Amino acid sequence: MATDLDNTHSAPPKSVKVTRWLLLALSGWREKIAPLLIALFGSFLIGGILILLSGDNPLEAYAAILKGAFGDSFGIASTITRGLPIIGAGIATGWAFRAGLINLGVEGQLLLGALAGYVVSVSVSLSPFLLLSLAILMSMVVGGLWSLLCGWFETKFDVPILISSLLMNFLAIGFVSYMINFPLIEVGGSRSQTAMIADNLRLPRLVSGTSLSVGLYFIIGLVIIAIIVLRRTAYGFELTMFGANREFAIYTGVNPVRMTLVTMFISGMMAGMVGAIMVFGVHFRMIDGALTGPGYAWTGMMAAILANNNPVGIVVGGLFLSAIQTGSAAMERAHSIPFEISFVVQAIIILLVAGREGFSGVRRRDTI
Amino acid sequence: MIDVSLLNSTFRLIAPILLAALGGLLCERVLVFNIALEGTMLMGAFTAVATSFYTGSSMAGVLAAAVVGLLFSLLLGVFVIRLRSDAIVAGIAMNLFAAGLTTFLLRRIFGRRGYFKDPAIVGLEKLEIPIISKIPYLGDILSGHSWVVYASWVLVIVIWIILFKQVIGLRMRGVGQNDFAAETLGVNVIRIRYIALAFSGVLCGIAGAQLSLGQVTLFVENMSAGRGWIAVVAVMLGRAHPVGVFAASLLFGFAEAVSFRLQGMMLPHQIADTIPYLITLAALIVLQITRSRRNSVIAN
Repeated sequence: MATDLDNTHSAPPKSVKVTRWLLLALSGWREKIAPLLIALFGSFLIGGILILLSGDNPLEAYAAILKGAFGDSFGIASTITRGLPIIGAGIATGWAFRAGLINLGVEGQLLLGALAGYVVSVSVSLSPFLLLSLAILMSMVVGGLWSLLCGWFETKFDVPILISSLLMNFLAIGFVSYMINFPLIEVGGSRSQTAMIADNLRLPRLVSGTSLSVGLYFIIGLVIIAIIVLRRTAYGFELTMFGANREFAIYTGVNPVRMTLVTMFISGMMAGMVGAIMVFGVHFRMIDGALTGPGYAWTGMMAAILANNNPVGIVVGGLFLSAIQTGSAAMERAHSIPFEISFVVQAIIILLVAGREGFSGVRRRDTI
Repeated sequence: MIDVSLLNSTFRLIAPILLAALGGLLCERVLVFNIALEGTMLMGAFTAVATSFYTGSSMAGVLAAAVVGLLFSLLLGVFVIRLRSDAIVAGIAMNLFAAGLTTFLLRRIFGRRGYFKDPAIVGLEKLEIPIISKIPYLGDILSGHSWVVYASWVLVIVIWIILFKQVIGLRMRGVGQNDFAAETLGVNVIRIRYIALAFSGVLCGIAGAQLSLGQVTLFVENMSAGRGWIAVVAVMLGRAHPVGVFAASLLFGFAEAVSFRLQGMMLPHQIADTIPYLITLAALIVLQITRSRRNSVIAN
């Protein structure tokens, strides 16, 4: 209607159009990017104050982090290598978060998936390619089923996914640790780890001397599939709608039980695949604590929160968080500031991002 | 299997969960979904050990833990109440913040990774209750705990009185039932919510102190180990009522005591460690099943 009127009467001068467009673009910018930038700036400011309080120069520390993460090819390779499981776990978490399902169990799903893949790879005899495919498939299925269980608890018994998924992490961690230390422990070895998988089952390395493997292509594939499914399929659209407004989605015909179960299964499958990539591409065995210690799942979740569950954003966010961690490790070697400062900076970023609606003046619906 | 020492350790082990759950209960009553109990506890545990190490006083440790818990909880309040952040995202962020900050400080202050143990850390003394300790069996079960454990029992009653016999409790319950109506009647909803969060922070801080100074005398990275989440479940299980929450905490304390016992006997610790979480999950599922049955009976 408004455009009709505009056309029949005098069309607005170009300058007005441009101004309108610019205002529109800027208002979007203000709401989306500005709070993120404020959060980043704020967290580095607070982190800097912490470094200053502990008697070091924050600028030098940040320069060392930047240099460590991007300074040379080794740094870049380390950032990407560490970033892969973070991005994968981030996509897995973001997938569920986007549908409003608070899956905090990616850590356990990843771990059980890794174990399942490993067990298949050492107990089944097949041609290497088929065996590797089967093992990765099993990782995804087991990760998916563990996650599906949380979804089922919610749809069947009304037990919140938020709580069941978190508690089930402890079950998975205990079980996998037991399996590594008892039935599967390397015979004759002195460490808490299993025997290595056969050479022909290992994912080839992309850059020799680093642990960057073709796992990279798996993650790239995962991101592309996630984007396509979210943008181009009915399921992807319904998932986003389910997360944005559940009542409305149900009203328009989305089956909440099916949506919850399918989404949790896919989220867990993604987590399981990340576990498989770590086993077949990086460690070549199960090592007690190697998948939980670095906090891949939790850093991935931070990337998802940072990116508001957008796949491309998760890639950027995951690489960014990975760079902070990799850079901090390099910084610790050069300065006296402990690597753990990266955990504080990351957490403050997430905290400030959590308050972004507040900072930007946009009030969301009452969630408390 | 079930003997006096198992029940004694049950009563010792429930204290952190009970204290945190009482805090969670107050938040629940004013409709603030607090999942940062875990992180608040962790901050308390670290503060207690650090303060006890430097002052040589466990009392100072507990007090400092309470203060830090209070501040931490109020910070959550700023995000959830003032900035209207999503309570779940803010809670997760606070938990990650607590984990990151305590790990960093452990490294920065004490130069340690993983854990910090030192003879200079003064733990909480075990106290004998004068008359009860003389009673056979009961004395062995109930007596010989730190004062924080006894305080947690007293707090169940105190919180019951505050909630149901005091004006502030009436206002809290009013906010919980209908915050808009409470606001109309002149209750300062925001202030009530901050007060509940402040109490909750103090309780979680002390819970952390009991964890690091009462049960052991050391700090371990992420030593809260999901107890804050178990406390969240205890609030649900106990229907946000002090007595119900106490009963639920008793169950989880018992599960933890059993897990410790089995560790020494037949099970590898990796499996025994999972028992409390398994029991918590099972209890939650059973609760929801009975609740839905009851609802369907009412509906029919």
